[in-house]
Amino acid sequence: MRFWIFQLLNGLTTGALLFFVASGLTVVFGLMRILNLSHGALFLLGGYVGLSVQHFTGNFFLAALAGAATSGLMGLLLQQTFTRTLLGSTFNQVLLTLGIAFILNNGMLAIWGGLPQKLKTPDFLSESISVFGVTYPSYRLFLIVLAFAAGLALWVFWERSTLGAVVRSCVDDREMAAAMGIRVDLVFASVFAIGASMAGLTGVLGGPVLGVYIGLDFEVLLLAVVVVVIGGIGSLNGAFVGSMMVGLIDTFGKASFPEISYFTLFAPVILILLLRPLGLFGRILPE
Amino acid sequence: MKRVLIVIAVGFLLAVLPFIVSGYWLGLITQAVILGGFAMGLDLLVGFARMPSIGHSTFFGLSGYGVALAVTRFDVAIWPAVGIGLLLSLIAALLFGPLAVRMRGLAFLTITLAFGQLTWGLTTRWSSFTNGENGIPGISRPSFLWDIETVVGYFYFTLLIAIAISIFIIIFAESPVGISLLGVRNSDTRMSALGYNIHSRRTIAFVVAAAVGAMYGILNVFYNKFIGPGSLSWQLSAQMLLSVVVGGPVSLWGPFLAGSGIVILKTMLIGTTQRWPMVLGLLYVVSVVFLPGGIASLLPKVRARFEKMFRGRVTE
Repeated sequence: MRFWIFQLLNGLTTGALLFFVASGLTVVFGLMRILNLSHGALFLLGGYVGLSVQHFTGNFFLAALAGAATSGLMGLLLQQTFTRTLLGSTFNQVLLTLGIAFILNNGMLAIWGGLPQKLKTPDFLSESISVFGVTYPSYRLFLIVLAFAAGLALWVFWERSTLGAVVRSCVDDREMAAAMGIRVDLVFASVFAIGASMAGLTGVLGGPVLGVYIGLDFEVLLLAVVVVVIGGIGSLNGAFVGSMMVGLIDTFGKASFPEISYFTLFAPVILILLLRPLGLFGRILPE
Repeated sequence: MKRVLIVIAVGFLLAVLPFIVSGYWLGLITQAVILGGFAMGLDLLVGFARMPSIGHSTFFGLSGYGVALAVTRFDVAIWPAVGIGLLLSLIAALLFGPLAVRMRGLAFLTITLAFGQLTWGLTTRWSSFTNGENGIPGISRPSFLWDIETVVGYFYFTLLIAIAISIFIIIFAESPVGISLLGVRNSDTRMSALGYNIHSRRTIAFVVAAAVGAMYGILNVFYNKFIGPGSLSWQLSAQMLLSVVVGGPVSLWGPFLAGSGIVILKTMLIGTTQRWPMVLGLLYVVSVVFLPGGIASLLPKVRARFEKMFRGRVTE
């Protein structure tokens, strides 16, 4: 029983981290029809910057702030430089963002080296506490709580705020939104930057749990793409449910059937794509 | 027909190489022909049918694993093992293809990625059977009309098969089926109204590209005498997709050139720098931004320039 509770909490932790990454990916995908394959690299960039900032200042929150800011700026820079190509054909954006992912990956290897490293948890969360009869690190519990809080906050922003309505209007009908006086280009740039900075923030938040190492960028990217596909493109609810599902499937798969753990992860993806090609919460997006 | 003759002519030109270049270069060119040919086959799917697969290395690697596992685990003789390898890839393609072709654009990309990761995961994690990350070494080459154990012998073997496959690809591309793929790409609603079964056309493109990949996968496993999960990684699939786009979709020769060029560039750079992924990344970015039509799109421009040069101003 303890084993299962422990794995359940592990799965939720992975799910929580995935949600922060995948929500940015799915909103950008839904809004601009861009599958940003450099999202994982932006995640890792945030992690590495956070690592260095923590090394020099010893402050975790400063590290998180710096990680989020760096990735956000990098995202903005990429979006501004390649706007035309990004909004063009599927092929071009896939190859472009993949190329950027390779460049960032190799650049980070050059700067931070190939050894896997780890961020330190902030002091007040370094203890373990006892929940449901198991002793579990409080930092991981904090991540789970944070994911639920962030999910709620994002939902309120998306569904209830005026700014959220502006973004949704751009998803549904870009031209009509522009005709109503909404600066669509501004919305695109800010959403892309916010998505990128959330990826960077997650790189830091995940640093004490997953560590930071070259290769993590593509691992996270793959899982995030899976989440977006399961949840449905552009759906925040889908990203939340998908993240928790993938987190749990991945954790239980690795713990119970290590030899076929990729099979247990990707077989459900294929099944969902075939039964519900638009994902659990997806809808047909206008071209 | 013209293009078949060009393939044969190029084949004869390449056949001179063993007299000119060193054994090191000949080995490298053999690898380049293998991956270039794979890219040429993928052009049928990515260029002709415009379906961006990021999972076709699955079939390249799976046939290799089929051979390796049949030989090492089940003591099958080599030539029958080749048949098993090809069959394994073909079954996988017939299983994945009809499901994947129901998706479009990025959804197709993600489902091919999912299929690819699924098989890749089996080869890396199922280590009691596939030997995991370490791969399977010690696969010996089959006996053939001439000795293919030597670098030169294997080069001619690869060249012969590559010419045969290329001729098949060209005949397929110029056949009514190949031409109908272009129709499906340009307007599937119109083709559907004309009575074509869109899904079956797409499946044909998927399976033919997979079959070509599987055959080159066999050449690859015998070249290296080794198979590892790297040969069905998504990175290799992405490199093949890049080759098609950089080479110029639908031209067939462009993807071949780009696919083999990348192999040679990679080998040359890996010896001197650790920045190969960055160079590859830059290649992705630069080619997409500055050369959207691929290398093949340069040919008409160059030709026009030459004609202008030779004709001078008289004809203007």
